[in-house]
Amino acid sequence: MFKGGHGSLNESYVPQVANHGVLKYPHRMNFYDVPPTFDTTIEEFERCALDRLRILAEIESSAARNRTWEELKTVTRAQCEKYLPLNFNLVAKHNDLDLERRRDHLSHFVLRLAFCRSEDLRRRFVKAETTLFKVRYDDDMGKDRDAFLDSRDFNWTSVGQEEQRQYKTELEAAYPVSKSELDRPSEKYYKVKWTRVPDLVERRKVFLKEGWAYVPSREQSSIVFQEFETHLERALEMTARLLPRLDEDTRLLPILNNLSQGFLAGISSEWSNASGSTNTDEIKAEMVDGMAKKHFPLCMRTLHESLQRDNHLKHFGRLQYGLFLKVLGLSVEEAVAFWRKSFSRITDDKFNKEYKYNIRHSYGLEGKRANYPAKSCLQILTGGPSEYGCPYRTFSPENLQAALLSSYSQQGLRSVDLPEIMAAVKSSHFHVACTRVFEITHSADVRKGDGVGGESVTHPNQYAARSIELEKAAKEAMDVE
Amino acid sequence: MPSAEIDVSPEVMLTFYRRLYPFKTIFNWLNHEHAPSRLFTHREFAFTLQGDVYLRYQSFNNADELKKQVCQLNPTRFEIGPVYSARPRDKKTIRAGAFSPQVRELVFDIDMTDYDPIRTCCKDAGICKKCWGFIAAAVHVIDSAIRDEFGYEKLIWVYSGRRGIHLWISDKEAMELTDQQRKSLVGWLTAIHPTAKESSKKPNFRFGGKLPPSLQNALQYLKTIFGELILTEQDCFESEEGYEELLQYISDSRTVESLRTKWEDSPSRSSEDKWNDLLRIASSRPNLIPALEDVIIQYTYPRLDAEVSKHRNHLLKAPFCIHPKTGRVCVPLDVTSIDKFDPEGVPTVGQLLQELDAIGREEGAAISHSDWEKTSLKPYVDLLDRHSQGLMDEVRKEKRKDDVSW
Repeated sequence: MFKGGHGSLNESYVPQVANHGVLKYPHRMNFYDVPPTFDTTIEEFERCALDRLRILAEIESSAARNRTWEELKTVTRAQCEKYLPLNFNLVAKHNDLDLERRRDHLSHFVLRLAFCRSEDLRRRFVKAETTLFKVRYDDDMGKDRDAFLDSRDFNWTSVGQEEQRQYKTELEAAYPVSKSELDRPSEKYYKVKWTRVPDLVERRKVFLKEGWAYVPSREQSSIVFQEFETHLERALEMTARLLPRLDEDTRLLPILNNLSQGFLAGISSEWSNASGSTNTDEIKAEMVDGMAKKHFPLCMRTLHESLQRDNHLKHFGRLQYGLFLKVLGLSVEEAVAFWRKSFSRITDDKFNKEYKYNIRHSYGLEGKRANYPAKSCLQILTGGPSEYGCPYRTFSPENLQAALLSSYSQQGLRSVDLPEIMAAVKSSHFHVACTRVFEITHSADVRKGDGVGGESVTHPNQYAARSIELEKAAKEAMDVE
Repeated sequence: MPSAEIDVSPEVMLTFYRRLYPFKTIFNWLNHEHAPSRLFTHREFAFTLQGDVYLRYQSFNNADELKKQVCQLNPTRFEIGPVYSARPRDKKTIRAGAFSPQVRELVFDIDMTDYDPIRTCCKDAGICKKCWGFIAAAVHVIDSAIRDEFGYEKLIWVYSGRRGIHLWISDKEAMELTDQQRKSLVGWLTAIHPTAKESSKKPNFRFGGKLPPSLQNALQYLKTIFGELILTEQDCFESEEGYEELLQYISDSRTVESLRTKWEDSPSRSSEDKWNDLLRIASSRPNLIPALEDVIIQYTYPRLDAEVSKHRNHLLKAPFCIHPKTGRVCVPLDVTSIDKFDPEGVPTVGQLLQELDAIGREEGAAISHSDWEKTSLKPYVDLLDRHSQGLMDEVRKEKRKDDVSW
């Protein structure tokens, strides 16, 4: 199914005269009934899945951050625009449309493979995908939507005039009409088994007769969403059962494993591969201390403070903190100076022998000369017990609250903010807690829900860089005045 | 009550299981056909043994095996659970993921405890003919809602042996409902949350001031029994506490004040008089009507134990078990005569054994396995047998249809 090889992407899409009749994917939305059967490259396979995952991760953290439906829609739309645009039939050229929709199609099915393995992953995936479907359905335009709905058999019967007259009073009582709608011609109703609209039944928002639910056309979406959800649930269970029999070489499984970790910390961000410096201004060794107090996320502040206190850090701490500083913009010379000064209790000789090599190594100047990226939240969160880890996860609630107050009270974090943060921690949404801290400590420039440039924290360097950026912008604004 | 009637000693129970308990009837009812199917063989039974030891995940191939095990373990009672994807007794040998509940009767439990805040005749474990009025009202409402709105037909109501009633629905579609769908159905039928404190939370089941059609149907019936049940028998608004509760539903403070003074001055006014006072005011002030409707619903609408119905894997006591506190048999009931039902008229295990003794003396015959036919248990067993016959006819029709289809 997913054969490697290039070129197939272009071959099947010879530019043609724009004609919607020949679109491979005539509808913007997709019910994902049919799996993709085209050839694709392994790179494309992973790239689209990652892009979709970024959207789903943001949807999931929206729920954890208690965004309203409108906020969620705005955020999701922005993420979609960025990573996986899907245009309307009238807007874009037909060639682009098919390409976009193809990516949407492929990415959905790749993620199914990644998220079908456990009950918990399945549940989260279904929830996020259904939300994404709802957002898109909401955005879809009337005609497109009707055509999309017509393309699939939902197995509903429309209620005849006769029957509608028979239950007139009940129908009117069940669906109170507001004044403005009174002059409208009578509404159309659809009849489905009540089990298809459990949410309407639970809220008593429907008229039931002998097991049939009479759903007005404006509540039709409820049937559609329910159908999408149950269909996806069933499909995922089926995939889970078939997955062990996937006749697969060693290329896909690592990708799938990696993807299914993605929900844990919300993978989104380009920072995952940050290995070079991101800061144009040079940072000197003596500036680190000041910057730590202003710009670092809690994990790095913790490392910095224990380094200052003990004049030492263990190997993994050095590695984690050193790479972070490298990406922050500390040159190798400054790094050596910084670590030398921090390790004040050892002799020059010992330092040069035992530590300098490691510092130069992490800058790609020794050994196999690899340019190591800084660790992302995902790596820090999922790392082994010997590593320093994410304080939101490893600290006890009491210690965490104390640490937060002592670290960030100067930047405006008050004890009244703590319950909200601790609630996120308690439900294991560590990146949400960290993002909230960022918002609170940058409340002059960042509103609640904005996160780090519109996203949740996914990388310590993303956190620090955004913080520095905000400070610079504020300074420039002041200079202008 | 003579002490012999509440004798539920192990010896009594054993004789009851050996000679009276209708295992075949229970088998037919659960299995829907004569040859054992998954509906029976993959079904969980749970035993409560003497000394409150709880034994779960029992399963049996047929009615005789069940009877053998029951007679051997001699439980104080046993419960029926869902049909699992594998035999429950093999649970330990199966991967955890491969053992899950598949189908199960849709069940409801109505318990008198949920009515404690409003009933005035008894408290806690007590129940009398008067209290039964609440249960009878609930049965009427639930029974017609399930039949008319959800279209299920295979309903059997079972007295729980003390102060409640169970409903088992065996329609194929009802048995296959998922937990999510069960939760929705319960949501539809729930108007009053027994856990919420009455006084702190006013009910809210209206949309834009109107009652949804399902509650309107219920209200039509509840109006007809409200007078006798709440005003006459329970006399709910007689005490000061009682009428203060009532006044909370009236939002207009001047009306409340005038009524309060009037009722304080003449403490002899009965609930009915007070209700009539309200009706009189309402006849000139129609905006009071919804509040009065709310009162009727609040005091008479069924109060369900929702948790029992929401999950397929919830266990519920099997019909014909003996309630350990009262010694009464959990008998199936005919919904058409539910109003006339008297909980104290239900045979107790002691009484049944006495009947057996009497027969034995008369006939001197050998002990047979379906001795219930000669006791006052017979009409109840016949009732469940007729119900099971309906289920079996359904299955047979279904099978015949399959045969013809190709």
